Amino acid sequence: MCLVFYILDPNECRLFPRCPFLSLTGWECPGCGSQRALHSLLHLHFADALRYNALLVLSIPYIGLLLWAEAFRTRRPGLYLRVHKPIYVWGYLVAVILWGVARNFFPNL
Amino acid sequence: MEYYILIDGKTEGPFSLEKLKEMPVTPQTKVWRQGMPEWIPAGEVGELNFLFGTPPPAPVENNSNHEAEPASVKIAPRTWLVESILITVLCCLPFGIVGIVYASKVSSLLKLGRYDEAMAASKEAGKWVKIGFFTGLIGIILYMITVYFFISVSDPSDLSYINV
Repeated sequence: MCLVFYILDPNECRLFPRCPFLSLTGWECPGCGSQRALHSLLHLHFADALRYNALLVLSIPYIGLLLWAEAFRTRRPGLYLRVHKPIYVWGYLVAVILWGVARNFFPNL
Repeated sequence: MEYYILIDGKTEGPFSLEKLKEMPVTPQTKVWRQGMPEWIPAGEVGELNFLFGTPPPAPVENNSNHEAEPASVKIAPRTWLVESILITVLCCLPFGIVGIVYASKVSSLLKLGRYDEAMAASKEAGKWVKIGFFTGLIGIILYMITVYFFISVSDPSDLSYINV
């Protein structure tokens, strides 16, 4: 998967699907730009990645932590609970929605 | 320590603890070893608990820096949060959002100690993650098939579209 996203540039290759939400509504969804962001990240172009989808880039540390906790869910249940505190999960939900709305009003986001 | 066991009314053994693992010993099977006044059910012999999948008690840890979890922490049901986030960001927004909403419910219910309800919410979250994943997968495959045929009849230099 990473290899595919490293070699092919979603800006130039037609095989990468366009976001159906964007096609239908003309609005960018919270995930729009994540393929291009992934491509940029793999090429270590962090500024570009942030420009394509800041939410994805900024979420990476938390996603990593969640994956780590999930791998040890049965062995370290306390860790799993700590990274899944309601405040974090609800906070993330609110962040996704705010991000989805805001990026359509502020074109430089 | 070697044990004799009573299988179908017949005494068998003696067996070492290692060997007992291979025998059809249930907690009700009567066992006896040197020094016991009479035959007792294997379930009542602490030394034989390992045969029945009873987890050993958590070791007492005085060192507070040690990372071991307290034995009282219950294993949480999966919240599916990270899967939902990935689905949201990488392919199927609506299903991913539903997944995150359920993940939030799971974590809130866990916090309140409503374990059964958390379990139900976890199942629901898992369901939406799977729906999202397979919808995305089928969508991408259909898209690629379409593009494959479309490219051959259109101008491949036309790149005026935006990706996910």
